[in-house]
Amino acid sequence: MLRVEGLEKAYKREPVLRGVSFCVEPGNVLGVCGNNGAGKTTLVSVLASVLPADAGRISLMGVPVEAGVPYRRMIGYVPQGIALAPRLTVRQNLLFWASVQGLHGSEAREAAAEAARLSGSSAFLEKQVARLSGGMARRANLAAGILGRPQLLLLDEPTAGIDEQTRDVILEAVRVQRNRGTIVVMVNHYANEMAAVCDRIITLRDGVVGEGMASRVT
Amino acid sequence: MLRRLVGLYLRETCHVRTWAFLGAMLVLAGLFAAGGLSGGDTGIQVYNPIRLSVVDEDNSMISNAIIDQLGDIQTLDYVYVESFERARTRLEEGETLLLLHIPAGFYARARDPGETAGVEVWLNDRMPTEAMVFVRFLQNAADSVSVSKAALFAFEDEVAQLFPDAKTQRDESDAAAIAIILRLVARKSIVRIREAEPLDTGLFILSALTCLYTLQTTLLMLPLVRRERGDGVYDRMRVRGMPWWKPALARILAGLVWLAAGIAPLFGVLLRAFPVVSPWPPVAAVLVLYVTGSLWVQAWAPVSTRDDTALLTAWAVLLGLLLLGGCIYPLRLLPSWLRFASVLSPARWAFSALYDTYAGQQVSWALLWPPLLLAVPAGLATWLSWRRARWDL
Repeated sequence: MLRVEGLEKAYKREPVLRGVSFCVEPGNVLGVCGNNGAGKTTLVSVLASVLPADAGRISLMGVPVEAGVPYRRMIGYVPQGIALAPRLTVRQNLLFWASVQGLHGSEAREAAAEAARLSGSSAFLEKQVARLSGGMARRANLAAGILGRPQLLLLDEPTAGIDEQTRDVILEAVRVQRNRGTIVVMVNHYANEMAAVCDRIITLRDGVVGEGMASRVT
Repeated sequence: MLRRLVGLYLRETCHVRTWAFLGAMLVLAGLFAAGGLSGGDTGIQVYNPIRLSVVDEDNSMISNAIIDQLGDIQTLDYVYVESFERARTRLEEGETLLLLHIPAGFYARARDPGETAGVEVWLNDRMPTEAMVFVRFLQNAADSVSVSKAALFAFEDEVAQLFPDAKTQRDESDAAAIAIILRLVARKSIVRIREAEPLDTGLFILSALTCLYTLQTTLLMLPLVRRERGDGVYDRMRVRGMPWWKPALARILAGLVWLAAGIAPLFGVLLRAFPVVSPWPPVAAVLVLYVTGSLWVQAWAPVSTRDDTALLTAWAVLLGLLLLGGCIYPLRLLPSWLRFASVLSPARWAFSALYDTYAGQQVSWALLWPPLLLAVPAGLATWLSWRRARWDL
């Protein structure tokens, strides 16, 4: 379970997150929406332990964020940008990130192939990332995030600026992760996409959590 | 992991601009090999002193007089007073040195009109112009001493009544002759000594371009760091538990591969031209310049808000460092306050080591200490930049 209690974060004394609390059970997708500057990306960054919280507690499967590597080892992170090396092929990128996770040899190749399949990237594995279309790059980015079967998948606007077909592929990949028992936290602007995959949606407004609509799609 | 990161960055930086850089370095090495960079006298005076080693087996007044009098001559960098073995070792190690060996009993034999005593002068095969000037000076001095002594002997009977005995008279006249001759030398009345070497524009350009290319290589890291920060690669690395210094070090090592590939032909030509010159001090100086520059670029890249501002500022700082280092305009011709501030530029030390090496001079390892000290704040800045990103976006 992902447990977040009283999370607070401020930039230069300007509060961005104010007492954010929620829990997400394994096999559930939490949608986070809100206006620009509401603190959605900050929340994901703090959950990813990229940014430290000013106050509050985070634990994943009982492991507190302060534990460092044991906590991070359980996370798959898909940032808003295409966090891949543009001159490398998709396969080379996936193998690189697999090696960062400590996977080598056949283990790494299998993990890369599985992530590519789940994200719908298998068809362009040998293509350079710089030559991919926006939708392909998003799928490759997702593949790097789901490598090694994480227990918590953090998605920061994974469908921003892509066509409908690619969006469906990505949402399907999220569903597969959920069905595997992964906790998914997804930041998104689009209400219909959230409704399609999220079990629960929270809205961030001025750093405070408000409950949104919940819709379970099976 | 570090090896994989280096491989990643090597591939990321392998583009047309990198190949253009390597091509330019190859052309430069070719020009150097063909002698196309030998510039000649520009009339600009660049001070390039040599060293003198005095070995006096008896530690007599002659060596003391030589050291006293030569101390005022600017052409001399150091005057060593040491053993013959130590001085020979210096020569064999390729130091530009004039070894003056005064054998045992020289002073006593020199006082004896019937005996000829020789001072030995040792040089290695580097034999710079200054050393030849010193040899001429010594020959002139020896001739002048003989002439003065002859004059003293001629008037010996007339001045004998001024001294209590013959021995005292001989001692005093010898000492007076030597003192007079050496004072004449110090006033350059006997030999005109060149106290400055003309600037070799070819070597100046070569040294300056090497420094420029070294610092330019560090700019390869700027877009890498900015893209990693902007696209979330850096965050993904941190989520994967990668320590901050690993990507920083990997970027430096990847850039180093390109730098080494660019500079290797130049140093290859250098080794062929001056086989006795050790290339390692200038290599180390270039390395320190590169590492310091890389650390500053990596500290600056994530702090700057816009891509174009980041690159322009980095270029401006780089040019400032080159100017301060004497790579754009000779250091000697800069205003005194800029010369004073030049110690803060790592380019100054690398330029100095490179110029001396290209000119066939031995460079001391001691030259590395100041730039090494300058690398410390650069490392600190990189760490602080990472801390800033960690605590406040």
